[in-house]
Amino acid sequence: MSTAGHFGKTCNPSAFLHYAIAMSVFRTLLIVILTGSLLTGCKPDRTPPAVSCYYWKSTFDLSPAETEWLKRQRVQRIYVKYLDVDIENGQAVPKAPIRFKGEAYQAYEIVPCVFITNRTFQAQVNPDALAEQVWNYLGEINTTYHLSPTTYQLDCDWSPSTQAAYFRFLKRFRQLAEGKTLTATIRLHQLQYPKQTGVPPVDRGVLMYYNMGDIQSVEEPNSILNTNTAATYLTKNMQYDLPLDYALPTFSWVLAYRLGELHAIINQSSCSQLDTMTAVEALGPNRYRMQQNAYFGNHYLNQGDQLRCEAPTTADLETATDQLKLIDNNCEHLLFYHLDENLSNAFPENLPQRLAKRLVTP
Amino acid sequence: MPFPKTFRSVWLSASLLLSLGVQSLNACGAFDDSIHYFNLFVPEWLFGEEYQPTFYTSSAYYNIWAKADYPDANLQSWQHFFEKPVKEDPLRKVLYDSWIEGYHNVGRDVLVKSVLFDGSMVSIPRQEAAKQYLLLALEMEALSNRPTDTWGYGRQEELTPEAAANLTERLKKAMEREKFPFLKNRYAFQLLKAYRYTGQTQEAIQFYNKYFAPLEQKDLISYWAMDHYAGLLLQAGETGKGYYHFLKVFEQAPSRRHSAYHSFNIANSQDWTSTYKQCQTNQDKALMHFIRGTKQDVLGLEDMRSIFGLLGNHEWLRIVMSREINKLESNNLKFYGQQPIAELMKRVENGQSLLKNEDYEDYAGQLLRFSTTAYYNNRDDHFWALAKGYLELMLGRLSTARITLEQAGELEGPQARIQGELLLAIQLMQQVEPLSTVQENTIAIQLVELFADPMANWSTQQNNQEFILELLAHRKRLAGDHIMARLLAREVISSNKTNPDMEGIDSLLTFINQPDPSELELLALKHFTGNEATWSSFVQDPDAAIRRVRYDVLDIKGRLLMRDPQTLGAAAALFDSLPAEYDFPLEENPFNMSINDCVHCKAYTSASFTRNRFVRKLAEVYQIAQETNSPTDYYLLGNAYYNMTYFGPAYEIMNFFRSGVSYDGFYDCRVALGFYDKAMKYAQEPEMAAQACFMAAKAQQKVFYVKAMADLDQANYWSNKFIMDDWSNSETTFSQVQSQMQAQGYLSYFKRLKEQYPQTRFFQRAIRECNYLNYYVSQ
Repeated sequence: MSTAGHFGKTCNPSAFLHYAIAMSVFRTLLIVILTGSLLTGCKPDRTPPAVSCYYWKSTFDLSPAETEWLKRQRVQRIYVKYLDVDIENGQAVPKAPIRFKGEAYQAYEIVPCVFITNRTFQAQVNPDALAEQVWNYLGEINTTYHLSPTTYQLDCDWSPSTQAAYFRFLKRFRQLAEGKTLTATIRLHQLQYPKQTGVPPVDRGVLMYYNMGDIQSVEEPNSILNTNTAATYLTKNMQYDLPLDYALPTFSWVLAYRLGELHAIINQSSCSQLDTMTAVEALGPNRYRMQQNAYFGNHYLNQGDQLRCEAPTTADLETATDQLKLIDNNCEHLLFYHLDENLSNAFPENLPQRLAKRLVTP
Repeated sequence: MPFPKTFRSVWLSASLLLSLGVQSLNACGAFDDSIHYFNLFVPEWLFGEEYQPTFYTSSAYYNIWAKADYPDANLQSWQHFFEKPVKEDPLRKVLYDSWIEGYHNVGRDVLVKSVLFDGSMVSIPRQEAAKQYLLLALEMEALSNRPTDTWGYGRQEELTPEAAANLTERLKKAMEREKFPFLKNRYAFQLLKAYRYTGQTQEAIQFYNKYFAPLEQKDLISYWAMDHYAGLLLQAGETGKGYYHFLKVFEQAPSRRHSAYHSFNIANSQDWTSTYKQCQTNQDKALMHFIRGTKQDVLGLEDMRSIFGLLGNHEWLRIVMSREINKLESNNLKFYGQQPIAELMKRVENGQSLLKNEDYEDYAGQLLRFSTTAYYNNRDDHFWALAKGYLELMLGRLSTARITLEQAGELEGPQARIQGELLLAIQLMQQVEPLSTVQENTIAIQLVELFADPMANWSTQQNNQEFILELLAHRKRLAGDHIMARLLAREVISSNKTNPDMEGIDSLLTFINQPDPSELELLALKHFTGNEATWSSFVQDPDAAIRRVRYDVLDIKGRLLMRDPQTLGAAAALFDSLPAEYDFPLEENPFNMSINDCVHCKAYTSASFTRNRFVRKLAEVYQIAQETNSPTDYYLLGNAYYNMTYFGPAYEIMNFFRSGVSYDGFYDCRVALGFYDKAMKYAQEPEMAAQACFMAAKAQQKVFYVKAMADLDQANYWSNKFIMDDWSNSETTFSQVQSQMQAQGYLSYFKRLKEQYPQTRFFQRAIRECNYLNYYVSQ
């Protein structure tokens, strides 16, 4: 077979030179690719995933700092929680529907997300009918705000007793959302035990790499991101039957324990706030006790309540990223949960992009 | 086994409420799904209903949706205004939009115009003024009502802004024109809401300040307006003032107490301080502590201390303490609601508390110290003796608790009831030796009295009883008296009727037949059979009462004996020994066959069998069949045993109930199948054999159904497959079920019918009438 033929019937020197250069570049590329493959366990070097984020508040209204953060991280896609679905008097009902304020949202690709409580399916609602209700509801929101999403995400921490119902819901939703990309959140235990928990019938999954500790336990060091716990879920070159994107935590909270049990999750609060409170005494790293009754973060806490503040550190997030490399998968989107002032203030400016690159760096 | 505490109707909180000055009631209500485990300290016994929103519930949502406070208050105020009576039913429908027999299809506007004052003596000016107001208020519902379509995003507003503005103008004019102060105030209330629901917060506040604030005499609707005003102030950022007005509504307007209570949700110290500054008296301040101390997510001790400091021994203090005790009970004794009570007794024996961890013990200890102080400072208030005694009990100090409760002396009313229950519980936990007959007799009397249950049926929803019964059952279990243990654990005869077993029935009979039962045993038997006589009449003639129980159990035994054709004779003899009222006529001749099953289609055949006569006949047929191998008799036996199963129209001969969701009682078609096999075997001509073969196929199908139901994945709840009667309603599930039967060999009689008897007249008939066979043959 003559390769020269590709460069024309007249074999002039200039054409030959081009050919020689092209062949040289090809060989070099081949070597790079092959070498790279050896280093990364037979995976070609990849493009870093796009940085995205979740927006989990019920009014979409970007602050200047958030807008700036999105710009700096070159975020094009935002996963916006459109609504929660929960059970009320035996009926599935929509809760906390999204309202878009202003027009800033139009600059982004919006991925509608729906969080469905597991108890909704435990309450034996008809999953087909629910899928239709949710789909119509999303359609009304899209119409109201002139949106035409191409990707949708469903979020439910299903259990063995609800798996069949949830998956049936997803199948029906998929029929309704014909032509769209359907994604679902995947928890670590679902990644580890796909046979037992099933793999949802969607196009892609988003692995939620957080909320992995025992939040109920007062002894738990960090329930948001505990890389020691996470390590127990992962093995080298593990696979999952869905292509996965990854979601990392960037939020903080304070957990209040009363009478030995988890009493309250106080969102958007941190250790630094507790450090300045006179009503609390420090017990150790991240741990406090209420010395008297006092209000904190819209909660009335009582004397004796134990508090633990939790937040991932930059080092935790880097370790988490390295751990995710164990999965044999091509991550297209690296998501951060969730966009707020904390995300733009609490971490180094270039961290998201750095983690995205780290994910594909051998 | 815990019961939900109470079942109550829904109430929509006032801030969402509408119209007419109406507490809109939703007729179909939620129930309190909270569960209080071994709830010995029942607040409803001790305190007035007016404090109901502050009582403990394990469900955070329950109180919000509990029934309205004084739901008739508005109706009464209207009747007062009319001066002369107006028909209550239409008025109730107009005001509350509730379901009223005879009026449910009549529009509320029609009622106002044509029915409400029909034939009434109310003066014409009042009638006309009231009509105008009510019609306008009905229109207002479009603005103020909560949308009914929860899945309608963006369809929250039923009125356009223009229509809303127009309505507001009409309200203003109507209010200016109105001469009756009662109606003027109501127009003003509607106008306030119109401002609010059209987003005109400042206008609404100004209007309240101008119209309602100066009123010296505040009527019901003025407080309802104040409720809105308080909410408006919160919206406007005047939180201290807003919460203070909720406080006043809670205090002054019983009909808005729920609303005010749930709106008083202070979440930070600034709002607390600014509200506190608004308070003008110690009573105001104490009320703030009372409301906060009774909130779902708060430990009330600190607020109790504040109330005590401000007002001394006040009722609010007792309510908070009662709540804290309920919380301890519910959160700690829950464990023993799910585990054998033996776990609790182990802790008692080891001198440990009944609380699940040191934190709870610490908190209960603090509550006990507070109660002890209150107890010694208020010896005439026996509430504190009860609280102290119960906290001591929870902390495992049973002897001290007993002394505390006994020293309180003879209490009265609900306090006596709590005292008695606690002392009985302590006795049952402390006493090591078995209960004597005398003690059992005393306890039986105590149970009837303490449970305030003269029928002694133990089926009320006051689950405080269950703690005592569990303790008694535990003692009996330890003593090896398993029947009494089961009965004290609330077993009832109906559970034995659903799926009885011979061993259990025989042991019950032995228990029933024992001589000289104690009163506790009698009580247990009374409950077991659901005997509806009063306890006093029951014990007056225990022999007659026990005889009745014995007959009931023998009737179950007879039906069990029928399951085995070899003991049909014994069953017949047993039924004959029962009083005549246990026999009953049969509507269906069980020997008949039908191609298609129809359980509830009684054939009303001419056969005049009673149950007893039929059983005797059945035994006779069985004996003849055994002796002669008569195919006809085997066929008839097959029919009878098929028809008497769960699947047949004569199911009531062997079953007491028929469930729509599970196969209960006698559902084993293998007995019938065995007889059909013999009928086929001995059949002399093909028509007979074909008929027996077809019936065998029906029996085989039911054997498959039973197996399939047992194997069914319970998670497939939404599928038609779960509802067995629907299996044939869907083409997909029908073919699925048929192919499963085929694959598992459950269509072998259809196969035989098709292969061996296709030429029979019966086969031709069956293929026309039976879809299953038709489907099978056409495949």
